[in-house]
Amino acid sequence: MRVLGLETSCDETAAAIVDGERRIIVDLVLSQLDEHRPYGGVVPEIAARSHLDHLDRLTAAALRQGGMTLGEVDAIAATAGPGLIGGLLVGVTFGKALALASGKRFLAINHLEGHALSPRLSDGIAFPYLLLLVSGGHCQTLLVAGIGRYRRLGTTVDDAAGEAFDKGAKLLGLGYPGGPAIEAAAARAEAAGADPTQFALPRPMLGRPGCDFSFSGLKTALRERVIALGGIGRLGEADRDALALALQEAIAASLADRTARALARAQGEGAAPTALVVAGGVAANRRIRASLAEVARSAGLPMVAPPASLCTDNAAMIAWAGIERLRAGAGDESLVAARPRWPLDPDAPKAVGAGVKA
Amino acid sequence: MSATILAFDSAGAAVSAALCRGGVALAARSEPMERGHGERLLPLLKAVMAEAATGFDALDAIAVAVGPGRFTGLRIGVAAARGLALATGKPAIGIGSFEAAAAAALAEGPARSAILVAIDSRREELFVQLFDRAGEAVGAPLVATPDAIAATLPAGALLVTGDGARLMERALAGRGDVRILAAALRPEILARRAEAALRQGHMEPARPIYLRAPDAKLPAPPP
Repeated sequence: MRVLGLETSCDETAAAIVDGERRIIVDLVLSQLDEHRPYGGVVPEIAARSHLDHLDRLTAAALRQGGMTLGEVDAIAATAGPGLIGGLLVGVTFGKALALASGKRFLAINHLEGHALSPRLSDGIAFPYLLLLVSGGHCQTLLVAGIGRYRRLGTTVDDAAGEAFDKGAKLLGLGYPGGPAIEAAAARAEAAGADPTQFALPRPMLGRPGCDFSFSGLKTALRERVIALGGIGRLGEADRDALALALQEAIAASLADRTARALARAQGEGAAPTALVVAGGVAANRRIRASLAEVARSAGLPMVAPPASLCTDNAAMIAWAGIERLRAGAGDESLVAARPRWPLDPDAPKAVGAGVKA
Repeated sequence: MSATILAFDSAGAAVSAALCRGGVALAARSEPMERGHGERLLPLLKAVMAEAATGFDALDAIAVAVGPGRFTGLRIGVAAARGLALATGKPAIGIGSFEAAAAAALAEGPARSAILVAIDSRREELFVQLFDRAGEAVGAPLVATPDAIAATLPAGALLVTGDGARLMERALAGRGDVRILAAALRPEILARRAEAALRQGHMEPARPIYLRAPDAKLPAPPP
């Protein structure tokens, strides 16, 4: 079984072909980072235009590099949500047109389901498992019990963890995207012997009941420290880097605390997770990875982190979710519409302020 | 030899599609709609192909209206056209909505004057372009308010068409010989122009004509 996957939900245009033996035959990603960088964030209209400019050539290249024609794939799977509607419509419409003209099945994939099932593509792990999904657009813990069986345990009530990095980097004058910039600055501060506790940044939600995340208070506290030290764009390099270290420590501590609680809750409710899976772009941060590995170790579970290429936005996980859903009996979904909001667990309570991130 | 072309338009307040041979529709559908173009376009294409009993492998080209128009509708049309093009190996030919609207007006009968095509942008400003009585573009496309547009127009008789024609009515009230023509942009018009382009070997892939830059503000430099 082979599925062509398409991903256009945010600022990467991606096409990939994956087979039923967990082989990623081809995996192409075109980042729009340079187009959005001057604006300090993703501009939806620019993203939508760029997806349309590139998706057909990228898909043709995927088929060519995969050494196959459209006739040789079993289905076409495209991200139908959640995400920026302009880009979603491009990917979904293009995918449906491919399916219509080639007589293939079309599958409308939830982007979060792509992330949720990605450790089964990379590591072949068994259900159930606890997933921490941390990216610029999402921050949630999910108990993944089976295909289509997802229970959200915690979610952010305001910003995603990746946003905390991006907004923090902006305040510190470290540029966009913020994650790698903060990590590099934090490493410099550490090498210089900075004390990560010197600025007394809050550790959001630490010890609070429940499993939800919150990062907007941390952002406010960081802004206050920046202003006290001279203001945005006027920080000395040492202060700037030390604040980056403090920010990274606070985010890592908060993620670890909330994830440990979600894990305990899942286990307390009788689930026996086989692993703690950490996915999403923020999982690339080494400090965060180390603190989550500690959480897994304390719970006696392995930590599984799919490779970076599967953690950031990609189409291989979309194709793989298509394969899993076909095996679970999914039919043609040509009539399913793109939707900006699409919670993986529709029964979970709405998180005020989190928008599509929940 | 006449070409078999699947032509469609989702750039305005409708989704229209036709399967045409030699510029004549064998099957055609049109649904007026304000939103939801993305959900209706592919089912409509499937329906006209089925009604004309034509397989996608029989197509010589795909013709799509590329605007200007509504950004989302434009992209839906072009994304569908490019998907069909990749799957069939046939070209996706983009037809500008100004030239198509001018051709649609001329299809109603010969024009006795210059033709102004006005397209609703759903903002105060309109998209317009001026054509001569033969349907050849005279000026460059313009994005402006009706009054500003009126000030640029040459004297003399004028035929105003396009889905924004009515929005020009007030600004042109002081002129003598103005005729407003509501001519439906039928997909056959797109197919005919695509067939002509195909004969001339024009194979540029369809791309939207936005005429307006994305709404995005560059951040202010640090104080």
